[in-house]
Amino acid sequence: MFKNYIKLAWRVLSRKKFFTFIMLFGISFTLMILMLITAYMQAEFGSRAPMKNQDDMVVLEYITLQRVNYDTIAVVDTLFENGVAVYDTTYDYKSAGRSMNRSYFNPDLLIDNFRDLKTVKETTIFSTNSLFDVFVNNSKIQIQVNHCDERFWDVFNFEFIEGRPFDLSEVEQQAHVAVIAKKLAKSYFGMEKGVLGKTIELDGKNYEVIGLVEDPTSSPDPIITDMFVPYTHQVSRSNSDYLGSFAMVLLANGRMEKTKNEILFAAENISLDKQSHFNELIVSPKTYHEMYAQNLYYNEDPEKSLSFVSWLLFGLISLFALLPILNLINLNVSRIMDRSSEIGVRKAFGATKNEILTQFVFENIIQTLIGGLLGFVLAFLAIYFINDSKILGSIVLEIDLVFFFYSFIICIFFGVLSGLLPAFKMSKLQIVNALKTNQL
Amino acid sequence: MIHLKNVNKVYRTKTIETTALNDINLSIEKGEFVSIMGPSGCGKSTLLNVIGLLDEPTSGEVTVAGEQLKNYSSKTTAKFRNEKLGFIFQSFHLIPDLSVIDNVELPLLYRKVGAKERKELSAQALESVGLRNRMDHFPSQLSGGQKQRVAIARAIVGNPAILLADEPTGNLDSQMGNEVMDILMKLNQENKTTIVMVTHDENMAKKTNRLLRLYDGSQVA
Repeated sequence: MFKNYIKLAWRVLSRKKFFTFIMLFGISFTLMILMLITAYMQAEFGSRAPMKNQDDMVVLEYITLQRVNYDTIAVVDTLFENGVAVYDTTYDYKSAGRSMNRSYFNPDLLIDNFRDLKTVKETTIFSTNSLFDVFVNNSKIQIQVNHCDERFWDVFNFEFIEGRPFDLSEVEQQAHVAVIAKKLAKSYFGMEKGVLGKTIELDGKNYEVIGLVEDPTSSPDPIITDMFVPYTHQVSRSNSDYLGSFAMVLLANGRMEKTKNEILFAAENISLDKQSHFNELIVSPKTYHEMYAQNLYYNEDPEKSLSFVSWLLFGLISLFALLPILNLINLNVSRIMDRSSEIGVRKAFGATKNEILTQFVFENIIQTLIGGLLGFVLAFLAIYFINDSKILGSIVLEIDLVFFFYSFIICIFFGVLSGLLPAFKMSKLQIVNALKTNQL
Repeated sequence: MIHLKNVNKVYRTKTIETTALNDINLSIEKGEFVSIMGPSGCGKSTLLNVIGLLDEPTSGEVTVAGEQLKNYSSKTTAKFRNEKLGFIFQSFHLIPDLSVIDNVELPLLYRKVGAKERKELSAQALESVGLRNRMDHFPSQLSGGQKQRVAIARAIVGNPAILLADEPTGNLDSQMGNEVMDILMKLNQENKTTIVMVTHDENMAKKTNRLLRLYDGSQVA
């Protein structure tokens, strides 16, 4: 029986080529897009080195210093009592203007105030990436340099190909040592291994390579750099007691809200210099995911940014999945209606309702399976070309087999459902009416 | 073999009520070849559908092969149709996506007959209608007469006791029509298959054992 169904499904697919093309395109393209989105999400938010700790990360990116000027504001109300005007004056003490300065942090401020919080298991400070021009074989290349502390390597778990990270004493002694990414080893030394002990000249100083790490496959700024050196080399690391060029990542031990509150409490205890122009200091701790969302859609409240971006993404994915599913249902309805006289003949010769249902559902499963496999091949090819062309920069996409499995199940579910509804309707059709609808 | 008692069939819509069969009483014995004639719309096909359990009468009793299938489940009716009845339609109703042999073995498929036996029986049925050499063709590759012979092979492959033919020669030229009629007569004479045939053709009807005439849903002869 099933062999017969397979044969029939194959014949139906090959007879109605345009229908088959539309249907398979719908299934496979949807599956491919869903897999690409998931691969992107996995690259950015999956548990991959060096971002394995991202779910525990709280980021202190900016500090805002502001001066709020308060004025006494007098409001005069005019009242009438027995036809006589009476003046009622109220006084209020309100903010009447402000000036602010927003920047990265002074590293010492971060270390002194946020390093030893109770709910935090590790912290690191690092500078925003600086660009340096270097010359290799008379041609100029640009190197991104991250100035970081020795704890950076505990927070971001890079995979070392060879060598080691720098340690506390090397940071304190401003040792001229560097950890470099594989891409720099390739472009600077022309090799992907065996670079330990070699030197890179940066701003007139030679840095010895003591470690070589795999290129990260996701996009956060501090990790997609070419070269890491002790932060004590950063000459412009602070331009006041508060402002500078550093950010901090804290590992919150899973209790993000507590850590955020502890950071805010610690920030309240930072006393501003009396000589300072500013009278308020604001820090805004956010989770890594909130920071990511804020970069896509800015809202002062990072939680709102994350919520908005999450719903937007969910909506887009749903819409993208829903449209082909509706299309599939529509196609299946017309296809099955078109075969109503076949249903009539089958019933006349003894097919039961269940046998008719089984036949059409089986056909749909076969068609959906073919579409799903095509989708997998398309996704595989698309990921290969995206990675090869580096359209997404440092992000490297990978096929997520677990997600593919679930997408496939969902595809089959909707494939079956889209065939089941019209087949169920048609299986209930009176034989005489089914035979009348069209001629085979 | 077939007994109809006070059978009525009325089609109702919101505005119109049409009587397709009006108090039909009929007995057809085993091995009879009966033809039904009458003008278009007189209820010939409706009568055949009622006998073939493809349609239910509005009232009256229908007994086929000793079974009165009123109020039976659709599954039981389907099984009964599969084992006892064979159908031949004016427009053949072959499934275009299936080869000739796959079309012929359709009734056996729903009888859960094994693949090998299905093939053998279908080949025999095709042999009996002279189309064994066309078993791997598809319906679109056949002439009208050949299609109808395939339809006959499909109807007889399960060796049913009763064959119901709705204008089997209606879409064929006279030569092909005669060929099809010869096959039906041979089946009736050699296998003692009971055949009920609706036709517009007096010449074809004359070849059968008995002729029933319908007019406006009533039996007039």
